[in-house]
Amino acid sequence: MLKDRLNNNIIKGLLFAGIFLCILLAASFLIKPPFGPIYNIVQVDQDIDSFEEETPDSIDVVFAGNSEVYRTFSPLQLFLENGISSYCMSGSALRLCDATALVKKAFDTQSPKVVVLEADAIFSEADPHKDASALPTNFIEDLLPIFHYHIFYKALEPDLSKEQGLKGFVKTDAAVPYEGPEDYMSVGEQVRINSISLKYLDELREFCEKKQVPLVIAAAPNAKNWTYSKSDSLKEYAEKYGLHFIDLNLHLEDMGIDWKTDTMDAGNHVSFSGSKKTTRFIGDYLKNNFSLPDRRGEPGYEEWPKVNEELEIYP
Amino acid sequence: MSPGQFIECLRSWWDPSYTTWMYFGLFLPAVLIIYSAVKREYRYIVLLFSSWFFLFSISGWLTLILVLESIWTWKAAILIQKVNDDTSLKHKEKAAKKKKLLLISVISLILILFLLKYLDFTGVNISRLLSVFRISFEWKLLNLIPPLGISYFTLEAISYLTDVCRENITAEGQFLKVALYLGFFPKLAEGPITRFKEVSGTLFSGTSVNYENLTSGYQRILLGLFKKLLIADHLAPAVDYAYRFDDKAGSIALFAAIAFTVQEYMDFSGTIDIVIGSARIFGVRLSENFRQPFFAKNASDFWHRWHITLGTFFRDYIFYPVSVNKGVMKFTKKVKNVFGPGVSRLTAPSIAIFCVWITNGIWHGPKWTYIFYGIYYFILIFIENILEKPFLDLIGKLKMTEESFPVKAFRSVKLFFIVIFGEMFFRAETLGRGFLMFRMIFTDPRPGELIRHIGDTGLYLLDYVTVLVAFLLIMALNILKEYNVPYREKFMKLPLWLRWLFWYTVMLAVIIFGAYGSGYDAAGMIYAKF
Repeated sequence: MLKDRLNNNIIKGLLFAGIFLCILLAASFLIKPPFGPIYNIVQVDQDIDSFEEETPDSIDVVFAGNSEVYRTFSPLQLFLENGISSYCMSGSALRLCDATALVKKAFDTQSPKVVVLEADAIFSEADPHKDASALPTNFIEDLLPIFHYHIFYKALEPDLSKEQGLKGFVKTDAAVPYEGPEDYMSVGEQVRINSISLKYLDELREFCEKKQVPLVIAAAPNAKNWTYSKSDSLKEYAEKYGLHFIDLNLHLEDMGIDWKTDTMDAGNHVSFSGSKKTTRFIGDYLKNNFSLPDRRGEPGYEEWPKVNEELEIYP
Repeated sequence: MSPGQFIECLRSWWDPSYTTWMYFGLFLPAVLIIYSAVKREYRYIVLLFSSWFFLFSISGWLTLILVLESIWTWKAAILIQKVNDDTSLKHKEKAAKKKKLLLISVISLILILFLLKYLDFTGVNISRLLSVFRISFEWKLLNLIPPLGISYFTLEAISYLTDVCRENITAEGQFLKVALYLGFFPKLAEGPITRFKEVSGTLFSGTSVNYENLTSGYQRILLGLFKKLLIADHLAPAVDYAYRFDDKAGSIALFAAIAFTVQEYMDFSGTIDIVIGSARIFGVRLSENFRQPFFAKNASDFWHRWHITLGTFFRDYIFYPVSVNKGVMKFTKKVKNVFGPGVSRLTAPSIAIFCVWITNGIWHGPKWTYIFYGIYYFILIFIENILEKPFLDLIGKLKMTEESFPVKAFRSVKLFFIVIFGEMFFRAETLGRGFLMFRMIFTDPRPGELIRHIGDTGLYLLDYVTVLVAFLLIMALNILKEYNVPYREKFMKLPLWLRWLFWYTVMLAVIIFGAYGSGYDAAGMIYAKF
């Protein structure tokens, strides 16, 4: 009698757990992103949703990376000054795995002619797992991706921090001066590109090679985090694979960056006035190094100057 | 990998929270398997070593403090028991000897707690006080770190020794059992503060893991996860944000106070659900720590429903002894002679309540905000005690009873403000900041500021919806409990497939809507730091 009851309970327990495991597997299969493992599914989905609202095959340059991208490069200014159509696919603390996924996804609806990867994400956490060293947690998340991507539904909400007309750029009124050493690049530890970043960097490079699109690695002005050792290791990587590399920190005078007014948070990101200078510089760089069409006045691009008139951003 | 590196690696993976994979996926099942594999009479030893391992993986070698305190408590209790059993001693002699032993053992435990938790606070404040008299004395911070749960197992040790002294229980002869009572892993971080008498029966029995205990244990854990992951941890970044900008407008300060009250309740009671559920899997019955606190009729009743085991500890080991203390009774007599019996009736309980609330505040930690929190409740409960009778007379004259709706509504609104203002000071960075928030709520509310900043809290609109829906569901459950609706019995009468569907839905809700993983910074357990 007791044995029957015990057996019955064990079967019941196993059946309950088995059914639940099937539910989790099915949910994981449905939720798992088709473009490979990523860290922040909400940010990536929101970026993709916004990007896919652009007219197909209208974007020539894609900027990808973390907040340095949407603070530094203004597509609207690039269009007004150089006629370059571009878009910032980026997010706050966006990881390199996510930036790689975003670039790949961009080619679904667009045919970019240049991909610009901002360098800060290369030296930040790049792994899709929350904590790359948390092996038990990561094992479970790999086995049942629903535990990693469970917040997918939040992408239903639009990213209110970005105005659609600015093509991923975020304008700020904040300005907090940087008062640290002038030669900030010589401060800080010697760092190399770590193995996880290297994996995603290689993946992005190979993807661009396959698409026959030049990959530019660009380092935005950053007095808080940028160093010569980071710059040198990227220069070395770019030379090894024949990539373009531009470190804007080495062109501060050319751009006219004044750390008293051109940073929004004491050196970590450029302010709006700083972004005008960096965008002008990167615009010239892109125009001089790549044959990008001037889209001003072309049919299909009528909205770009209209947005500027409505928002009164650039004179 | 060297043993040291292995330990470091393990500690870097380990998260002290009961809501992690390490706890559910690895630790709990591993203990369960080993526990089931050994003979019944040795199972408590498995629980003890698992508990020490649990603490070691969080607090490292500080675990030795628990081990040493366990040895001290075990030995001291045996010595007290010997006096209890000594028939050659006269009653007075026995009492004096026991009192001496109890004082030495309890003061030693408090001293360790004081050194590890309060020494810097005391030193800094003495230094400040002396500077008022222009005496130069600079306290160099020692930054001593206590092991996890020291405030809880110290109180349990005190209760054990006192109960042996009072002959409510007999001292346990086996050291390992006393050590398990003090260090049982589910209750180590946040309590409940158990009594030896209540828990020893099930803790040492080595009850086999069975279907009933396993299912009811996991169901209780699921309820805890629901509260913690869907409500408390979602609110954590909003509360942090609001407390950073609480000086911008009174509306933000009020939002901070309300959100923190909800967060703290769901965090603490949710963790206690996980604790009680974890213990139940091993057949161990732990005391309940919450009983629908927001249905209380006044501040005193609130504390009979919130952190119950702390309240009963203070009642049994501070309130009663202080109330019948010879010095207090003498003072009461003097008060009676001067002010009459009306005032004297309140004297002894008021002194005892004051001691209880000061201790309550200090127990929470070395911060003036906690001490103020204790004094705050002392004053309110004192006022309530004085006004209770005139209030009852008044509602009698108005031809109402305590059950009348206006009376209940008045009491609920009053309690709401008492609790949220209390929690506002409790969570405030400093006492000055707490008073600033309090003042701004009344002098500078500006609701528009809250609306303007609500989007900056780091929460999505869907997070607020999740919190609201989950909160309403928990409140509905509390209503059923408060009015003794036999919902469990009714639920068990449902067909099996429907019950399973319910549990699958709850589990999926926790997995999908829970605040964990990428995009979230794990919110620690609020009460683990006390």
